[in-house]
Amino acid sequence: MHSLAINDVVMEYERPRTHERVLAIDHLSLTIENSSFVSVVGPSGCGKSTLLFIIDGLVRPTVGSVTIDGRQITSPGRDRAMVFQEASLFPWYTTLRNCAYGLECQGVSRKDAETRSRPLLEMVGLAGFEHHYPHELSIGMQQRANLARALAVDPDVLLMDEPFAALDAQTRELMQAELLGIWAHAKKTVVFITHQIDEAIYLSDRVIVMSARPGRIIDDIPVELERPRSLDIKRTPSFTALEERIWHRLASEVKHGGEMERADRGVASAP
Amino acid sequence: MTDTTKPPGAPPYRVAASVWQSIPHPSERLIYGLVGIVAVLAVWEAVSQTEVVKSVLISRPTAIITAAIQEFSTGAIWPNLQATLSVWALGFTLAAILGIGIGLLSGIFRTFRYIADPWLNAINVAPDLAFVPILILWFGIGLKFKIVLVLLTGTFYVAINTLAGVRSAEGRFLQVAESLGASQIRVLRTVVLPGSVPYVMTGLRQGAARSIIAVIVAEFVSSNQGIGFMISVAGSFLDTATVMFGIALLAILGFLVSEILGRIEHRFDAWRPQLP
Repeated sequence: MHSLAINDVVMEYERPRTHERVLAIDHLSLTIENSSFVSVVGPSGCGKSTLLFIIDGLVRPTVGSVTIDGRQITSPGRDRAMVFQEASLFPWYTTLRNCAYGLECQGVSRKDAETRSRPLLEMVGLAGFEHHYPHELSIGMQQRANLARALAVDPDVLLMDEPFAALDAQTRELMQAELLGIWAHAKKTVVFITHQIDEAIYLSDRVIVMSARPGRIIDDIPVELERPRSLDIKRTPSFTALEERIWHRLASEVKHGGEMERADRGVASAP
Repeated sequence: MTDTTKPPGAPPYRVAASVWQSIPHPSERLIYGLVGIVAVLAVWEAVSQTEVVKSVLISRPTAIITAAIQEFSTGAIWPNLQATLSVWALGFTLAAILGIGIGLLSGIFRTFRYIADPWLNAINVAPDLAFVPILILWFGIGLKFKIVLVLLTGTFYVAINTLAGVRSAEGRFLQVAESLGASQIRVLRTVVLPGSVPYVMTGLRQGAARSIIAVIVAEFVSSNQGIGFMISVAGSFLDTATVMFGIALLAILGFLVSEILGRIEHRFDAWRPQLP
């Protein structure tokens, strides 16, 4: 079985001004099966984004390694693509050129890259906005374009760093449903970082819960809700039971880690 | 959408609640601008006509216009204008190339920046016109001297702004490019350079305006042609009208240059959100 493996990764860095050593990730191991959707939740600053950057190859871990199908990762590669948090489209390129950027980096001619990008923009619902500049798009549309840019290089692993964090609640739910639709067709491995417990459960086959810094895995919860999932599933007892479990797992971490956003419904409000 | 909902009976969206929020009429700016100019000119003319202040010292608008008409109708202005503009164009083109080059190199290569930084700072704090005597010593009083003075003045503004532009490349964009596998050259071409265009243009505008001053000063000091020469000669003959005409001409020149560069800038940054 092919898979993405994180092997005993430790990430330590030095704060630039104070030279204080910070342990961001503490001996973390995780194996993710191909074509599965895995979410990582945890308090702010627990190193979950750092983990994603390590998988992408943008950051080298202090100790440990990441392998894909047994090959060790040392730098960004064609088999992985990252969907960054908001506002990461190049403001000087149109939506289409942004989407084609990854292919152009791989040596595809601009014309071919753009031709191959059009269907992806269509898939994420941006047909007709090819020649708009990012500032002419709403934040939701910018994130659709971000997703299209990552999908355009046809990666095996899609790394998503809180992609919907800046969206309003309705748009976020809509995008979650659309992402599941796209994933069902593309069948890519997805590692999805989020603050939202309900988002993590709704999207994933597995939810990884990380501790406050230094980040360790404190729970690994399979989500056995059947697919395809409609948004209504968020109101079912099995869904809310999972929410409850993850919330309690996180509650103690949050106290010394940072705030954790709760799902809007289903679970009684925390103090 | 959600943001269009408005409570019933709410006041119209734009309300002039105070002087800080009042909405100007579209032509307000133009009208008041013209009124201001006409008023100043009228007072000037009156003060000069009545000799409250000696008119030979301050000239008067009508006399300046007469001088302008004479300069243009006799064609006396053209060789001077041509001399000034050609020195400026040649000098500033070289300054722009040199400035962008130094700016890019120091922005991209840390070592180069560390070497160039003290010199750029030194040239920044030293008034460039103080170099005039030594430049004359080195280059004589011909074209070479003028070009070097323009270079000295203009290069600096272009260089530091270009450097700032390159250094402003945002980490998140660099990460995106790296994540998608862009080569260093591609990162430079597709991320660093587009992001620095607004900075470079600011540098060019500042440098262009400063360079004109440098040309005029050079012509004051040593020349037998040019607007600066014309002003300096007219001044020594107490021909204040021609001096004022020369100054007005330079102001118009500066305005035109800034306007043209503004247009060019606009071509490069269609992607930026335009302010109303």
